[in-house]
Amino acid sequence: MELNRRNFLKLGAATGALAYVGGQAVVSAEELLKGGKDFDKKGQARKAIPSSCFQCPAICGIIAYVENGRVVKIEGNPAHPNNQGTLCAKGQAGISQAYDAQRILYPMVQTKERGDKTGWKRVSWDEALDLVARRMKKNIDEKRPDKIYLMPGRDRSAGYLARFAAAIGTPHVISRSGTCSQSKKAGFMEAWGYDSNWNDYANAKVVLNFGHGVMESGSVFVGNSKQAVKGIVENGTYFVTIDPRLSNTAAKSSEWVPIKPGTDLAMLLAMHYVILKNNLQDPDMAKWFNYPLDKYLEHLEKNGYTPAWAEKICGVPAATIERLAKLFATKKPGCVTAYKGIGTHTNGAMTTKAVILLAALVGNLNVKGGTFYNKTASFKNPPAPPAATAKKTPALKSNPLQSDANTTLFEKWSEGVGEVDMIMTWVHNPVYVLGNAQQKIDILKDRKKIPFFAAIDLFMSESTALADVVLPDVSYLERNDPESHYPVSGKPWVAIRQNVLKGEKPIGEGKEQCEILRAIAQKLGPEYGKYFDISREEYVRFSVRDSLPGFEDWGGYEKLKQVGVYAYEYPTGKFEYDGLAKKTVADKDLEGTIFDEKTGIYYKPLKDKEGKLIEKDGQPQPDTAAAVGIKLEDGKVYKGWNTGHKKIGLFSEKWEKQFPGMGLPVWAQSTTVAEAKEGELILFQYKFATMTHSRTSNCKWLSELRHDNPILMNPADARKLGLKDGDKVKVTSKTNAKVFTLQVTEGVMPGTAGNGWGPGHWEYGAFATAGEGVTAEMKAADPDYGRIWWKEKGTNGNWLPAPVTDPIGGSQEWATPVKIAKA
Amino acid sequence: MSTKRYGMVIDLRRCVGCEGCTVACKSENGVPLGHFRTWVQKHEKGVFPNVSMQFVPKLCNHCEDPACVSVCPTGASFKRSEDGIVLINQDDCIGCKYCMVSCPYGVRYLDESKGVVDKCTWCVHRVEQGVVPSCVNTCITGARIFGDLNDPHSDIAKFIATHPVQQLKPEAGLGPNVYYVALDKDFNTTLGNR
Repeated sequence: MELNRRNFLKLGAATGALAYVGGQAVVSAEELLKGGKDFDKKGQARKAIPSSCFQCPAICGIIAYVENGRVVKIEGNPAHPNNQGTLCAKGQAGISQAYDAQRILYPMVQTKERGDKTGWKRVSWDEALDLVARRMKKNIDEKRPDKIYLMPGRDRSAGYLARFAAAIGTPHVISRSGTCSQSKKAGFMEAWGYDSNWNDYANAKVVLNFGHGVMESGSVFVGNSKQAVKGIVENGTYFVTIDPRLSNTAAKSSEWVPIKPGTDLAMLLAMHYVILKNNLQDPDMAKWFNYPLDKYLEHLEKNGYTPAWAEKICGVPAATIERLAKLFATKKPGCVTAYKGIGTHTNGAMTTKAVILLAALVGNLNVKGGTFYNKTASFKNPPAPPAATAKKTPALKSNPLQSDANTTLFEKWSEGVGEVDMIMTWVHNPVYVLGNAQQKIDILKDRKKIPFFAAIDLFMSESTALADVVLPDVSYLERNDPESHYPVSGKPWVAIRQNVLKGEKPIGEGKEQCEILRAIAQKLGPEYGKYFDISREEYVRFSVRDSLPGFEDWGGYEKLKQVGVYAYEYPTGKFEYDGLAKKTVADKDLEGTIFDEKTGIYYKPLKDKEGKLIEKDGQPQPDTAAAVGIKLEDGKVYKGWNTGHKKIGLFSEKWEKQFPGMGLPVWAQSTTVAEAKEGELILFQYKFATMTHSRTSNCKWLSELRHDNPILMNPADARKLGLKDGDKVKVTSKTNAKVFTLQVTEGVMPGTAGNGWGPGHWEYGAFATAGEGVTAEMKAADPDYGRIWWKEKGTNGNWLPAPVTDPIGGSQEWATPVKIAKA
Repeated sequence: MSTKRYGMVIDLRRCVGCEGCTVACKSENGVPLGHFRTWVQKHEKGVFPNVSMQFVPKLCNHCEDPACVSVCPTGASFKRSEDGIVLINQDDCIGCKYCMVSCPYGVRYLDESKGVVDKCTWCVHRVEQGVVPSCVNTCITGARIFGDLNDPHSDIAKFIATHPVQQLKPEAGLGPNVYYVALDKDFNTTLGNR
């Protein structure tokens, strides 16, 4: 591929200098309608097609510049309120996803043992789909569709995969969220009824960041970096990052507070204590907690959750904890943020619940400069099949509170729990992204344990390499999805992902995932196919209709295809910070509601599908999922919080019932950290700014920047262990031992060892594996295959963690005690 | 037409080290693997727990008095009179690497496939069309400002007039046209390429 499209000298001589338009990107959304602004070597403007990134879950707006049927450049879409015309390294490197010479181009069947590279046979789509559909039909006919497991990596199909699952009757759609945000979602949900938040960093006076890669890798990091840097540089925000590692984010922060992995809960409990003990809570917030704050203080005191107690557990000096608690309570507004970092421990849900409670205690929820929830677009689906009737196998989860079984699934399968006949993955790499990689390999390789394995994928991943049938996917540059995600700038938005190569010569025979599902459904027969009689593009058109106020008047789907994104503007011109809990409910909205004396909650009456009242003994019944408001002691009816009880969930009835003693926030030790023996270090995982966990190592410009993931170790530990920077070290955990490169740095807490996710592939192509298997044909397709200069390809940290999960939230525990010695 | 003097400000308070600029440049200019026209150096100093880290993006400084131009035996390296951009006429470059040795910033490389030296052009092809260089366009926190230093109304001139700025290795006396904000003096001596 020849991307060097400039002969600047000749161009310079021919055109002379034009006026410079200063300061910022010059392509406006309206200009996009006219074809955008990027130039080929003749100075001609390129065809510009807006779409949505999918290199990471942030879903930034992009513009693909197309020349001679190829995408030659990806830039940020200036119309997008989150990334505002800019784009990170990963987003720009996404060209590789489409043009990687090792992309899977045809359906393939494994004719030998699973994982045998010589066993692949190219087959027709018809043959491959027949194989998959016949296997599904067999399970359906035996009335056991629950033996079919659908396992998406990142499902952005907006209901299409769920529709397929419902049509074939399987309840088993198992995501990968336990690798990441599952416990965080559970904790946040319990505290305030939303599984996420966003933070008004730009307007905050203080930010407490518990282990979140706000300015490097965390969810929506491009948009968040803009807001955070604006706050720090322009508005004097005091930004505190609490993290075992001097991350990029910690480096940009006003203060770095090193902490032992998995112990943030101790610090948070002590901060709750300091705030209540010193009477620094927001007086207006007291009435909003579902448990009296004076009693909560008693509980904290009784348990001795003081800063001095916390220091012994988390390693943060008591004085620092006290200072930060007082700062957060007195210098307002401020926000508190957390994501995977503190959520992926066995105390993850409890810890993240304590995060939202901290914001609530001082009144920093839903205020300008505070922590927020904000809406995303709501997508509608065409009439769907009835929900699956087959029962989920409840024993797959370690307890019923967990929203998903993904982290325990392989355990249960290895124990023989949960009958499985076939799995179908979609760009999901369980071998690479879940803990204890070897166990996943052993199970996926075993045809007795998993009789049939179909993979929809674009690349030979470590998991897809073990499949029986591979159905070729297309890259995110060639697919169609409706999109909406966190509105980090305060503007909710709806965007489109579209095939930017539409009308060009297709690359191989790949089909987008939803079209593959549609083709399988049609093979299964008309009773299944009838739910899939619209194309993916038409489905997207249907989904986005009226998805945000004002969208249709703006131009709707047709304009979305041309501009890429619609951002909702609040009528007042600014975000309505206080638009949620504390608003009172108008009398007319209470008409026809049912008042519950005990809780003070007004519910809508329960109705059936046709909208008819469901009555019991002649009385309408409350729909407990549809609370309209709550009457407080002041006699006013407020909208209330999003929790079922309409208050801030200091006490969790659900958790108390399942785990007695865990209803209120209590200290719970990370079980793996608790097992650490003398001389062991706590290994923790993090993400690089230039690499995702499992699906970007084939991008050449990213692997060039980030091909190794050395173990980070403090010099004090290195001295003790007789190790030096650059050494090869053997890292041994309870489950495995692997060799890594050592990086000695002052930027990591003594007693801990850091390891970044991404590098360490043994599949995923030449760029991911430091040049393995480069052929002359590949070099002809892209000379850069011949220029792979790096020798290190890293080691996947996922070999080491034991498969331990948070009992409440279900996330994988990523902190792992390890022995480290010279290899 | 008055003479332009293009320059760049890199505000290190804003740089989060994401390397978006690095990849934007590779993509925009088709820079082969193994070479970079711009990159981000990461500097760490201090002893735990008092450690700091700074990200310093680097690129050609398009110097006022570029050493690479004066040492070039064929005249292939030259500084454009109309706007100060330092370029290489690839037809005249013989790949002798004198310029690479002379540059104190280590920003030039030999493109082995063509046998010629290459480096940052400030995306001259974009600038001539009124579009900022690709690294500036993509910077997620707006850390890079590009423009005409001779135009007092330009963003860059206004910025420099109101902020203290530093240059890399001013002692080399080449008059670099890349200015930094909040550059840690301990990092200024760090040499060259990746």
